[in-house]
Amino acid sequence: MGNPIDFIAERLPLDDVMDALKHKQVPVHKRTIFYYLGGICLYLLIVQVITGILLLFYYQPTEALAYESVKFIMTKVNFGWLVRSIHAWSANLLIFSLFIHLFSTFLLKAYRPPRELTWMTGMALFGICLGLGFTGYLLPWNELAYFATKIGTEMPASIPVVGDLIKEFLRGGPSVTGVTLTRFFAFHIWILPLALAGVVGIHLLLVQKLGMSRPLSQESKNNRSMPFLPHFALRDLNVWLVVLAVLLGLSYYFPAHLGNPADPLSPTPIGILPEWYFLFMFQSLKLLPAHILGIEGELVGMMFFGLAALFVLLVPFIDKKSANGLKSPLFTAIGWVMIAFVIGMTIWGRLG
Amino acid sequence: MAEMQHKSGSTDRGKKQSIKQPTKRDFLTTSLVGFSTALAGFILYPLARFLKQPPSAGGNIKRTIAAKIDEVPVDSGKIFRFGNEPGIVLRTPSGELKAFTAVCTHLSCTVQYVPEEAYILCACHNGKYDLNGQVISGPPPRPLEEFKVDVQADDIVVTRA
Amino acid sequence: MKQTILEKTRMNKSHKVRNQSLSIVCALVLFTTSATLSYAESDTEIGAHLKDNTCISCHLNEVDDDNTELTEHFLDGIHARRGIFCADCHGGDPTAEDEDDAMDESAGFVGIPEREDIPEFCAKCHADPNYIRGFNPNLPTDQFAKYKISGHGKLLFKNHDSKVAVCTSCHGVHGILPPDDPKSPVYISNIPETCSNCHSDSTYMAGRDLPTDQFDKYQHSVHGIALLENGDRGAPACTGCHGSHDARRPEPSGVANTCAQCHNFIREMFVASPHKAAFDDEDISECEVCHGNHNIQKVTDDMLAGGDESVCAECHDSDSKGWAVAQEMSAHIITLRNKIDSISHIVDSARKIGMDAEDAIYTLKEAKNELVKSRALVHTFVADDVSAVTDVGLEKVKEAGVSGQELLENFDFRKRGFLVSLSVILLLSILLTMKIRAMNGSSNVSE
Repeated sequence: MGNPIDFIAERLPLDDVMDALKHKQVPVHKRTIFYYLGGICLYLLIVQVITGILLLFYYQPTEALAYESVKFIMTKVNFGWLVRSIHAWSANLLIFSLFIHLFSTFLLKAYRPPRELTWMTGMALFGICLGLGFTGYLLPWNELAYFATKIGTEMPASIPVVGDLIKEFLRGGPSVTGVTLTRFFAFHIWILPLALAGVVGIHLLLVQKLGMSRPLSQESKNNRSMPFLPHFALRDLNVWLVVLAVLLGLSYYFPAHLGNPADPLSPTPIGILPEWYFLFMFQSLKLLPAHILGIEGELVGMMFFGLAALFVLLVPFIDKKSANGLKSPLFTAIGWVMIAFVIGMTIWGRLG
Repeated sequence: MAEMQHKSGSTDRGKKQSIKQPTKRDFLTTSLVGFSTALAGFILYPLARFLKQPPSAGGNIKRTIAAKIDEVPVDSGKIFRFGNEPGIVLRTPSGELKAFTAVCTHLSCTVQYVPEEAYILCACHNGKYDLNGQVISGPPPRPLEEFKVDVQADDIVVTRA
Repeated sequence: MKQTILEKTRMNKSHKVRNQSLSIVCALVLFTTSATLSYAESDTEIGAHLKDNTCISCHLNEVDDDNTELTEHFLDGIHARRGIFCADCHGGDPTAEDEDDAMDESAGFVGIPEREDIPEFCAKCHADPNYIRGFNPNLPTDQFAKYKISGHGKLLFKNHDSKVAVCTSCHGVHGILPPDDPKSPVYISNIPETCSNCHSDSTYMAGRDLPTDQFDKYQHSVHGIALLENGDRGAPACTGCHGSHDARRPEPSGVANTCAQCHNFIREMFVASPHKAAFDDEDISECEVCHGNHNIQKVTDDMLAGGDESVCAECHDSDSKGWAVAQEMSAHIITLRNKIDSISHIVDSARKIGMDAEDAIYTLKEAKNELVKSRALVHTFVADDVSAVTDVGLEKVKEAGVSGQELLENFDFRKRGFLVSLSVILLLSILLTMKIRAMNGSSNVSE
């Protein structure tokens, strides 16, 4: 059989991949820093997969044992507190990095042809990650998670015709119960990660195939770049080390909470808020009047967010100017307005 | 983030000062490998410890092994730990195994079985319960919660409803 | 249904029927009993079932404007449910069509009894063991006898003071419910309010040598909170200490026995102590002197030797032996309490940061157990008895302290691990930065 490495190399197209990576160049300019975000997201995703699998060794997804098993992980299992805290913090950092990755890509117009699909798969990944955050939040089956889920699954109910159907599908019945828990578990452990793996594969393939986008604003200034291997990869690695340090620090100083076990019969605690990344939507919907032009306010809000998401998803096809290599200040402005809206609403939601 | 910017900014500076001493670079590579190995160790150690069997099997507050069967002869009781609370498993004079919470409903003292008299006593204020957990006398306002008792091989297994 | 009618017929036959009209009533009642519970549902049904009962047909339809007393209250009450109808208490002939015949006093019609006559009115049946046995063999028949020796009864029969409580004051009139019915005014948790109807009304109670603040005090006492707020039906209502039908002021010697109904262990300790003889000599009621009566509060450790709150200091001078014992007992208890508090604090903070504090919490609970026990033991008034228990508690606290210490050490390990791994990561990062710089020196960024 000879050298086992050669044996594998002959049969697997590793050389092709290595060749592609060797030829990959990363543009060097004022905004190079934003190229790290994709890597950070990927890194955090890997952390999520590893810590998630570890948690699965002890977690028990039933109404009776979910809380107890998480408590067991936090108190009895060696380093269980660390694994769970990293999983929780990494999830938050991942969503945060995704937000920055998304908005920086938007503002730098990296969605320009030929990267429309990269953009759209990225949007899909963002949606999947939000879904993972939402489903994962319920799994410890504590008071906060229970009521946040109750509020979260109530939202689609305002959609006409299918609203109640969606709500009942998410909950596995008319209310949040143990069935919801096992359902969310299935989403969190199988369905969403499987989808994620597929889409991440396509996203990465596209990034490798199409290379990094050089922003329009930087195109005229210089044409400098550095090879991905090893120059940029080592920098990536360095950033990952820093992120690991941040994760450890957050987990050590602010270990994940457990709170009180969920009690479906107790009244909703006052001032219950969804996870911070849903707060801007939650706050916007809260501000809307009960009825707008005879339509239910919440429905108008849901429609607004639906259309906004659709707009962002299809922006490569809408933004004709940047597609033609022209400056597109209108879309830059839209990007900033969206950022201001999300940040403003999040702060308002937290304080109000 | 600022740090990152600094690093990418340092690219230009790095270009100017070319380091050519091979010994220094060897040292750098060696220490990189060394510290990477150390970091791998720091990651793998907690991981291995995490996967190792935890000090006490659990995550289950609904069921526990209260005692070995021969620890509770006829007309005796034994206190066992049930999560954070004590429980009492006893064998009545007629040989029946029973288990209750050992937390008195009056002021949360731990109760005990009184042999021959065949009742459960809370020594703090002399609260007495019968062998069904019902209050016979004294200040306890409520009966003791009863647990389900099963015998598996030599173990008395107690289950909370 | 047939069987029940037969049974009742037999039952009524076996007890010599009181008078002729009663037997007729009984027959009628038996005829109607089966539907009694549904009477209240509709007037037509009542009419249909009771069309032959002239008491009801007249009073329901013609005489009284307000029928709720009859339709809602009486028919829901225990008497109607057991087949006791109007004429069984008030006499008269419910089969007579004519008003004068139906309510012929010479034929035993009583009508509305005078308030003073009510106890005897009820006692006609309720003091007759033979009669009551047929309905409920466990129902006592000594209420009237007891009532006569109660504070209420004495005033009623000796002073003809008709303002005092009679049967109906507490039990209601027509719709009398059994005492285990939560709607009954004499259901255990309703008793304090029932008594307070009169006893908290200063106008009504004017001219009597009685306070009117008992209810206010009681409802904020340990017993009041236990019964009224926490629903502990084992906690005493007014009747728990005063009795019900024989309600009156307890004699000093009786107070302790009353408390001992539940707090028997404390009482045993007290009786064995030197205080017993001393209190008897002075004719001081035992428990009440320190703990009060209606306003009994949760005990505090300061009641021993805590300055103004000390109940021992009421009798014992600061240089007496008794005071020394009080101080000693207090010191033992407070030492244990404080140790528990400080260790609890450590353990709790460890628990909050996610450490496994279960063992320490469990051991602390055992220590608290001893603390509760030691507090009960002050009633022996022997400092060594108290310290024997607090010493066990201190052992437990020590044990908990050791596991608390282990937690903190464990936390130290966490901290060291965090700091070391953080240093490794940062050093590695610095080295990597150096490596990157070194690489930039050899291979340039392409233009």
